[in-house]
Amino acid sequence: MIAMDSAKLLARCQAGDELAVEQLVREYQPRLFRLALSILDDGSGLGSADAEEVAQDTFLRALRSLDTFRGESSLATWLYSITINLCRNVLRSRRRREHLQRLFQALVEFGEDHSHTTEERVVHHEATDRVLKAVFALNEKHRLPVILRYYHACSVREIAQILDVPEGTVHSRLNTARSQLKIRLEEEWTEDRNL
Amino acid sequence: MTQITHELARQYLLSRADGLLSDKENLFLKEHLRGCETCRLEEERLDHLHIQLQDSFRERWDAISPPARPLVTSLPAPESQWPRFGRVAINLALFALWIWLYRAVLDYLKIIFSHEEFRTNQFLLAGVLILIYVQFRKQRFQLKVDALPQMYAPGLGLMIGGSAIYLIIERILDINTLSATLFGLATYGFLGLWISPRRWLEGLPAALLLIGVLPFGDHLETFIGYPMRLATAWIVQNGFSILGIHSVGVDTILILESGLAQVDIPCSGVKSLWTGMLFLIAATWLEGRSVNLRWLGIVWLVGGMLFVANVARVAVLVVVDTLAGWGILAELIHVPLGVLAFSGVCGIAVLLVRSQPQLAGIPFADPLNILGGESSVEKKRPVWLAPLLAVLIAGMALLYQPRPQPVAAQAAVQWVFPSELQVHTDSLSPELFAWLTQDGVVFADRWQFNWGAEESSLSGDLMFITSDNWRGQHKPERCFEVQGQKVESVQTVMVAEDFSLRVLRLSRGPLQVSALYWLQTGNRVTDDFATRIWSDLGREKPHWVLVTILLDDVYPPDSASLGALANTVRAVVAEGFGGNELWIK
Repeated sequence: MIAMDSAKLLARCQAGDELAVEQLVREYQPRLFRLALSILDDGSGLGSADAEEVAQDTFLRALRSLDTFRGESSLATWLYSITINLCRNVLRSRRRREHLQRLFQALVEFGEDHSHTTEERVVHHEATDRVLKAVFALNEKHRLPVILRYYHACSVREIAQILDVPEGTVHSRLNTARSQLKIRLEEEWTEDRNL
Repeated sequence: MTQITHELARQYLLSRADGLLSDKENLFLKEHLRGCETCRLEEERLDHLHIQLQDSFRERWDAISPPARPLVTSLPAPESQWPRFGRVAINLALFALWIWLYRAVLDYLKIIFSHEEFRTNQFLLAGVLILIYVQFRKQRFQLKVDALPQMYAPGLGLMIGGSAIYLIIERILDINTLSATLFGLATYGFLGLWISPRRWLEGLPAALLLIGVLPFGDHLETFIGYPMRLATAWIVQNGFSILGIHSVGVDTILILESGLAQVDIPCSGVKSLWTGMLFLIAATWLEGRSVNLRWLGIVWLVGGMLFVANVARVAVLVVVDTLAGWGILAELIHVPLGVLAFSGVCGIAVLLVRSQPQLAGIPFADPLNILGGESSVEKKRPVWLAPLLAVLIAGMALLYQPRPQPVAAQAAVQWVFPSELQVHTDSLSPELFAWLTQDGVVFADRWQFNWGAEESSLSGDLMFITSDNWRGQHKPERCFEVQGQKVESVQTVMVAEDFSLRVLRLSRGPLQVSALYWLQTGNRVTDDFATRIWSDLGREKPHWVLVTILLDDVYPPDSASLGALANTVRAVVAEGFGGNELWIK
């Protein structure tokens, strides 16, 4: 159920109270921005701009459809799920663009190679950060639960609501992700243990 | 206590990591871990992974600040009820109106990007377009073609302001390149109604770069080059005077500049300003640096450095050519000097651009939001904006009035030639006449001539192009090149104290000929197009006659017979003015 404060805030927003809208935005903006950033960051330095746009689109969509919010999940979870859906749209169009760009660059060779995949760009940005490289190497369905669990401290139940999948599936995906990460980070783990 | 298997213990560890373990299961797990080193190692491994992930995520993303101001401050208007194709149709209609408003410029652009004489600009355009395509792919630039226009003050301001100035410029000045520049700026403002403001600001250098490929050469030469050459000559002369050398006059330097030092390469003289500015804009854009007041300061600084580099180049050439008398050495070093100075300034420009903050690292604050209020990266898209824009653009298109052009007449003046200059009218073909008169020529006349005694006679074609509008008179060098002749050399020659003309050596295959030209009004003669154009900026616009003589043979520039022929023709033109300083009778 919605907490009382959130319920009041939503009611005021629905009534067109601009102060309430601003309060809602101020309260959730940093979290939504960071959520979008953590999903869209590809090491190119442009993730921040995309995250800003996604955060804003989230508010616009949420405020336009306040009537449809039933309170079956928390307000934060609802906003998170909108953010993630918007991020998925961005990632899809990015993949299309990257594909086109690779095709174009196959035709015309330019001095600088811009055809890095997301994973390669992250490594390029943080050469030594093997952890991030390992996370970005996961596919999207395994990566999102990891980011939501370990960066945004969401519970399995919240992740299930955000991603609209059963809790068991979230747990299973987290387990798969952890297994893959352990394999990829084995060397670092051994080094750390020997120190 | 019930014992659990290793397999179950590991499952419990994973469940505990996800907060799914009950108190009872937790007790079983703790009991198992007490006696099992293998499972404790697994626990340690999981905890380590947990810390690794948290630390790495925080290190990477906590450092990036979220936007400081709220992204949305009021309830958004309901989404447009128009279907997608309806929104696209509205946008297409607005775009069509926009093209109609700028119909005159499009004709000009068609010429620029199709005629052979603008090949450099065409190659530049192709290069810039490829660069823009690649960068926009990289920066994920998107035009929201299916969204209604948004209220974005900087875009709207640039669009309306640029168009208003365009209407005035077209009516009063009629300078095509300036109109095309305003078209470029206003169109980028227009596009800002469909682009995210952040992306719009990031793409601004690309728009400037695209505008920069227009043929600014002649205009730079006229409006900046001429005062710049005067200033350069004055600085160099005063510099030498301070050093005790008083024999070098401004005129000497100007003649040297008009000939040797006016290198026709894009990295020297006044053209370096154009090339340098394009380089600076491209560097800013490719480096992803912000365009702000400090950047404008860098623009001025780089412009100043290019000017100083040119002054230094001219000073060196004056020393080598005029003072030391080593003309051949001056010929040899003038191009390397230009390239060297230009490269040096470009290197400094890159360092200055790199000192600008990177766009990617700046939280977006919409610095151009001049109307204040919401700093949202997404603006409101009120439904009334599209019809308002349609009315506004259509209104401006209806207000458009080009400058009235004088109607040309062939042979409307009875030029009186002396007996020693025998002329036969050589009528202009309708096509040539139309081409010559397209930009406001008043009279156009051509003759074949013979002049002088048999042993030193000269023959060829003589042409007078009379206009009270500088655009009616093209630089003869360009005309000759269009006709397939190569300009081998251009030299300024002083025929009399008040009479300087240009002598050209032209070639077409093995055939070489000489040509002369100058511009003349009732009381003035000049070989400098800049002087002629500047006279149009005064209140009274005098008639100028562009005299071009194409000879049948090649002659030394300082040939006495060329000078005598020029003096005779000058007298004919002066007679045409009949003592009036400004207008032909």
